[in-house]
Amino acid sequence: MTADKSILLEVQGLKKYFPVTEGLVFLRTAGYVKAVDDIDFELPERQTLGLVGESGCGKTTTARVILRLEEPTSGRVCFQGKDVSRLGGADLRRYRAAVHAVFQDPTSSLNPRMRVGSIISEPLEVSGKIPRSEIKDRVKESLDFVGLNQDSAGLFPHEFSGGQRQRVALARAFALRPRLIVLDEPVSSLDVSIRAQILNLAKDMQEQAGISFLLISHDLATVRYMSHRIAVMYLGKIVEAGARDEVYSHPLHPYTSALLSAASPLRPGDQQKEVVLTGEVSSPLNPPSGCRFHPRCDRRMKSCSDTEPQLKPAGADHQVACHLY
Amino acid sequence: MALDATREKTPVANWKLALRGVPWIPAFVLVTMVLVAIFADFIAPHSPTETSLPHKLQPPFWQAGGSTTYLLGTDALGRDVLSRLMFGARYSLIVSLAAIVVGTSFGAALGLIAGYCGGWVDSLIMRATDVMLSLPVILLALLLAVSLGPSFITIIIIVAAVLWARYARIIRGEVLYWKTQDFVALARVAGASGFRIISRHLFPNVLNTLLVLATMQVGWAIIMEGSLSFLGAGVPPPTPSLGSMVSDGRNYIASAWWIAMFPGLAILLIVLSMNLFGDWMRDAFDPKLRQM
Amino acid sequence: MLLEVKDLKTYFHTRRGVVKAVNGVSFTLDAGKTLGLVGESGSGKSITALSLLRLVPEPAGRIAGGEILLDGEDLVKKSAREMRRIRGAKVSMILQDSMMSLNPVYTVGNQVAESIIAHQSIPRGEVHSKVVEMLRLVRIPAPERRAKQYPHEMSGGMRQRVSGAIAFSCQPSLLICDEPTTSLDVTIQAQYLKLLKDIQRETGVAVLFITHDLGVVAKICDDIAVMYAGRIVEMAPAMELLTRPMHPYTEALMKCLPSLDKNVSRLPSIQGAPPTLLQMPPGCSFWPRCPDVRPACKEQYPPFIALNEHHSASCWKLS
Repeated sequence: MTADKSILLEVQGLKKYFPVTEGLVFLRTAGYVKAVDDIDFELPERQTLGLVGESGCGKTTTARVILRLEEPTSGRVCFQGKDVSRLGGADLRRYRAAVHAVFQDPTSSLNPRMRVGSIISEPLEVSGKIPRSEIKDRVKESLDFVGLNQDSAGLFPHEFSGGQRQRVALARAFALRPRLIVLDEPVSSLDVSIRAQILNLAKDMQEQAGISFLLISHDLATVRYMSHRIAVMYLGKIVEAGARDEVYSHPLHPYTSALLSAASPLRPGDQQKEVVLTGEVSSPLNPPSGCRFHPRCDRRMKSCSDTEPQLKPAGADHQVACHLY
Repeated sequence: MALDATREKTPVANWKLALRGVPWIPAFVLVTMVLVAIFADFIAPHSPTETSLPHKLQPPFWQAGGSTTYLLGTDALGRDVLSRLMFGARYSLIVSLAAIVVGTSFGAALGLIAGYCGGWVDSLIMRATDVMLSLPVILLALLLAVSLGPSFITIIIIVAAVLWARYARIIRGEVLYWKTQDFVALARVAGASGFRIISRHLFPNVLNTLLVLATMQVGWAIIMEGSLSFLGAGVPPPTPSLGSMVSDGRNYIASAWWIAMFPGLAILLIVLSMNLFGDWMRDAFDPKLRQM
Repeated sequence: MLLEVKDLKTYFHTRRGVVKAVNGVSFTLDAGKTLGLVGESGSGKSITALSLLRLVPEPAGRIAGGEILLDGEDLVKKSAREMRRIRGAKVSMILQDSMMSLNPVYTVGNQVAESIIAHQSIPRGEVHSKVVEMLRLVRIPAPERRAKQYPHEMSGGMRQRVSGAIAFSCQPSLLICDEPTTSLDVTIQAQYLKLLKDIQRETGVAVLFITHDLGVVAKICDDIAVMYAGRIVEMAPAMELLTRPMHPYTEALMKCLPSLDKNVSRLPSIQGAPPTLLQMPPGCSFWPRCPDVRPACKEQYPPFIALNEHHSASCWKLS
């Protein structure tokens, strides 16, 4: 872990609600899906923050707000101290050049009609930072970095395997040497034997170019391998956050423990102490009162259904939102 | 640990691949038609407008009373059917292609804008297409023809005006699909402008559909032109077009079938060939299908 | 022994050549046991499952050889009509995507009922109570109410349970699960695996569990067979395979997985990608990616070598 502690990205009180409408002719808002409901976190320079949770917990929406693909309902995303949603003109262009993303499905994230060379060079062209004459070299350099040969630039995405396509996606995100790359489930659609290659590649990028990652994943093992810090989300809230080793060795929130236990022990001997959660994730349209996890929690108390626990410090570099602590 | 790209590419192999499965007969028919239309001035045995009343209503050469001077016979004014067919093909093809180009560009542009922008822009454009599509086509065409006066340009405008709404609608639907793909989101993340996303990301992906639609519609445009000419709202006489020739011949269908039959057959051949060709293009232009 | 597969070969004939999707697969499965078939995409695990049900998409695909003995009867030799009777009556299947395998326009109760009526001769009047019983078997809460719901009104986990109810409604002796938990969330996945185990204990069904996820296999399987490029490369009891893998592929596969309970600074990765089945390397199909290649590996496919009574692997380094 590097000692550089300056904060690159800061999320404060971020909320993103999606209106749900009903009615055939006159639409009216029937309620809100609270996809992200008041979360805070920070991401230091040159570090990786792992955002963990199951589908519908709001982790991808958080990423989309940070990438300015969605407007926040309230709250702020600050990049190098500036509120991202207020950026315009040259500042916005700088932000666009500094933040990139890699998504889960490499088939959908590469334009099937563009050659790999143009796919990788697009951010370079759009940013206006790189002179035209240098773009070709930068593309070559990027391809080289991700281990694809130079002829790849002339091929179309469908001529590559899934793992190679994800390399192209990484090469594109890396081409401008951004400050931050949002990795949204970067390996979940890949074969098991390919995943380590891609993860190692991302690690190399971080080491060589000092890039920060926001890693979004449902896979706790991947997050442990990649991240310096982690935040666990459940139904739009962060329920536990902290330094990686802290959270993995002393999980405090019952949800985190259940997740860790469900996440596949490789040794069959471990099966006995497995905690299997009952019930399903509640709907974010109508979240439970109090602690959102309480209907599934095996350690719930009276107060859990009444008052919502706040994220509070619990140990060195460790926060949890639970009435037990 | 450089990974090899999977497929070798040589220009020859590419050509062969691209031409594999070309429907040869339709292609041949189309090429012949186009060549005939272009070189009508040189190969037509007679002038298409020159009348010769002594030779009126002569049958094709293989029928009793026919002669090899007028291979496919003559019409009521003694004009050579074969020559008129050649020039008629020229005008019909020009009208339909021009109308397709105008209608496609206009419709595709609106479809791209509607699909990409969404919101009120989308609603506005889509309501306009609803109106266009719910108007009776022939009535609209006649109305326009009457108010603008029959001319070459009028026909092109009329056919294009009827066509654009379909394109706008279909292209918008396609755009709505492509817009949800991650590469569009990533382009926005990279800072690409709306114009760039439309032109570099969305347009190339709908181009396929557009080309296929256009090819399929060539036949429709020729029929449309034919119908307008048939109703007297088309290319003004004596300029021949395939549609007006059918129209002229309809009074003589019992006694001199060849006047209406040959242009009718020509329309049928062009439309059929275009449709078969369009089918092939749809498959051949898909890079994923091409690889298999 | 309930199921014995001997040297099964399933080939696909494409314009670019013959794809040997399943290339000589043999295994056995006893009643009440679970065999995990593990492999990456293109390893032939799903085609093996389809072959067992004789559902290989024809005419491109064809079972080119081998025997599938279910209760001693060879399924390869059965007529299409006999197979229809066997599917559903003796063998059923749960697929990955419950949204695809359930019909969106019928209620789930209807769909379970349809399967019951097709495979059991019970009076009309008792079908409904049987439906509720099946939904209860897969631990669906409030089964009477749930039976009236449509698939889209349910969560992924619940839908997958309905698929289970349909599969069990014909009282199969063999259940084939093709990635049944892959589309589910981690915590729901754990629930589902526990449920499958419980039902297996109650009904004594044999399960062929197909997955790419070594973690899931560890939780549910008695034995594991690892597939690579159309062949089984290693087979052993679950515990033994996961603790003492012998084939370099199995070993590498386990090493390249990120660990949950310790920090690793750098994962060893397997170089390259699985071969395309059209261009198979000569000799062992894994040698281009193998860290321990010998001259023999490039020439001839290694034989299946038994290390002990239950554990065998095909690799030259073991001979």
